[in-house]
Amino acid sequence: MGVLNLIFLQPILNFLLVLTNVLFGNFGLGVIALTIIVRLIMLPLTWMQLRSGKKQAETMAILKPKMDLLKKKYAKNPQKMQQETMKLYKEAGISPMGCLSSPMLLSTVIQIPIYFAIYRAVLQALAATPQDFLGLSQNLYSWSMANQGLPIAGQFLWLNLAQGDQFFVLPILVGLIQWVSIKMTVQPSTDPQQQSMNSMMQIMMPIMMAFLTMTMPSGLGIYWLLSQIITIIIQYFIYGWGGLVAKAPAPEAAARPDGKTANVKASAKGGETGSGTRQLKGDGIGFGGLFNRFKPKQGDKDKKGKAD
Amino acid sequence: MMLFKRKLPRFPRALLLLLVTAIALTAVACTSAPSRGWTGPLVSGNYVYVGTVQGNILAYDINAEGKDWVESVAKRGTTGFGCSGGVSTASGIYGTPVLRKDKLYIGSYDGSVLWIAVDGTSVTRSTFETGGKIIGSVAIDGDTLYVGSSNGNLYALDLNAPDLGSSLKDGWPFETDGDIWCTPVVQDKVVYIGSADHYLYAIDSESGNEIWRFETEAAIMSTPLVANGRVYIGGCDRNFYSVQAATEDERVAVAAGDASTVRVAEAVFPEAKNWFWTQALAYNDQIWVGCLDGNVYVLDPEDLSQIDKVTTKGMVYAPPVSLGGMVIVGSQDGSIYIIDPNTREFEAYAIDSKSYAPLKAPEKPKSNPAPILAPMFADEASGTLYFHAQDGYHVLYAFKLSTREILWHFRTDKIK
Repeated sequence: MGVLNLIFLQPILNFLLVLTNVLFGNFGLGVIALTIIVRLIMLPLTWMQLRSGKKQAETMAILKPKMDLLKKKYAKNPQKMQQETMKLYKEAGISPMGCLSSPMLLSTVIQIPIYFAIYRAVLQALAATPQDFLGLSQNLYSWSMANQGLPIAGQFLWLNLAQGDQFFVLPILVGLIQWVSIKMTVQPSTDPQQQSMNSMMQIMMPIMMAFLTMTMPSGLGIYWLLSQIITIIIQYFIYGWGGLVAKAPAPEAAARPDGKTANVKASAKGGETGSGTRQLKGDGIGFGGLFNRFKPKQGDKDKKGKAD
Repeated sequence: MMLFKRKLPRFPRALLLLLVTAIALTAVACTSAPSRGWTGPLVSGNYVYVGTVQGNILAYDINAEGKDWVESVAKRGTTGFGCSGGVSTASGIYGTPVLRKDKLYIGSYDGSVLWIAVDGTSVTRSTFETGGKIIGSVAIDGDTLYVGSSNGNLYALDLNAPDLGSSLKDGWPFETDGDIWCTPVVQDKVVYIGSADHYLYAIDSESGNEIWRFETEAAIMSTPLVANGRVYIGGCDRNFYSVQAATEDERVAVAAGDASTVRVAEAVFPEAKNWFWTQALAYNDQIWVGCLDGNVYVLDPEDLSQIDKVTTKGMVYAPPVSLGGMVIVGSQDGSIYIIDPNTREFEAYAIDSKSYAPLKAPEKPKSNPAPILAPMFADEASGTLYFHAQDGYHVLYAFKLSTREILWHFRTDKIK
């Protein structure tokens, strides 16, 4: 933990405090500036992660008919089916490891400790009790700019940044933005099972994020909100508005059995191979790559067309 | 039947991952320490008075070696949810009680100042609400009580008033632009107080008028020391300063309406590696000051040049005290350092929080060391050091200096 603090937490914490000091001692502005700067620095990684996920999802969609055939063919021989599936993956040049494959693994591994460090830096900077302050003192550099603004003034707009939002505005905003982000990435489907899962995802995640925002200091909520908005902007440039505007495929189209409508078929049977979530970048804390194993559906092309 | 045959949707892996992440985030977020407080002991007669982690004041009978009475002091309550509630919850006591005319005065983290009248068995109380958290101790000079609050105000309360709630003196509070976390010091009718607005103030104790102010480069959390006609103060800018104390002429002039002045430092010690957060000790013509970098610096009182330093393995938050011709330092590393002020050679004793026995360093405690954060009480008459260690157990110790043994110990966190 000491090494992680040294490498990640301390630089980010001190940078956040310097930013706060520069921005008139306003911690809310400091968090906003830090979030934008970090997300800009991480943009190539995030972009690479999203593009890689999209490419993999598209390839998987193309392979779907062949995989369905394999499933039928080797229904009674799972071992053989696995071997053939692997062979298929290899020929297509995709990793069976999904999100654990490079470069997604690389970007995820790099991003996770940074986002956790931001998370902890915001909490530590908002030290409220003497114990918190003693802990904070052990992670500060000797920079006068980092020490001058302490203790942090917790007021920003209507918020006390060290406490949860008493008026619940911030949790509602975080939940709403989270919903938009997921809606952009969840693929409409005619499959009831998949629809059920999509609905659960679209409802549960915003609620969960809103609840977390409610339970955490508002300073963290501001970070989540802004980070989420930035994620949506990046998603837009790669996927367009996605599920926000895409319609569910017509049942008759989805039911067509021929291999030429692979994507439609994949959409209809999405429940067999995973959830309908093709891309889930909207976690707001940089774990998008972890959710990239879910297969693409018909709406991909629609979205791609709109984005282009 | 169809209902039972229908295959339930698989729990999406993404949602599962999100759940795990949410739990992890919540766990990490809850690193914010609750306001449990730490208070030092006050010894008077056969009693030790000390605050407890539950927000009580405990009277411990030294002869009977047991609790005499306990009184609840701090209000309890939570605001918001989860961690944010934990951050804002007002409870605990950080200040050390002060005894005056059979009344114990204490400031609580919930923002109230109160006294508890102690007449053997009965306990009564009266309170004054500051509206901000109180971290430091109260200071009493004559019939006036001074206390700083996290709302930035320094209050002067008339102790002759029938009720503490209506005892605020005219001309007070004295307002600063930052939190006040330290204990005010009163010397020659001048109150000295540091604030998180970076200033050390000298204030006329009667009128509440500012005599002078001295600016540092960061917040001041430490309690000033007045000695040798100077005020010694350390700050969160990692500097330790000496400033000329206020003169009687300055005080009288300000009381008559003259404007305050700005002081400059007489000397600065800039070598520390972390904040100063504790009051210094003037002893043996030296200034001893603990630092959060783990060192106790021994400085020349004139120019603050470093004479020596003693290095501990933890933050030094409790002020050094003198006892039996030695300087005693309590450290966050859970050890007591008994230092010869002439040679600066020291013996370190760690306290094992399971056996409650002192272990001579470098032997390590068998269980967790008990950090010493609260001010210690040195009783010269009995040659005993009383200190309140805050590990998971919160234990009050009586340590006999001459024999280097624990006379008794008492777990204060079990008191209800």
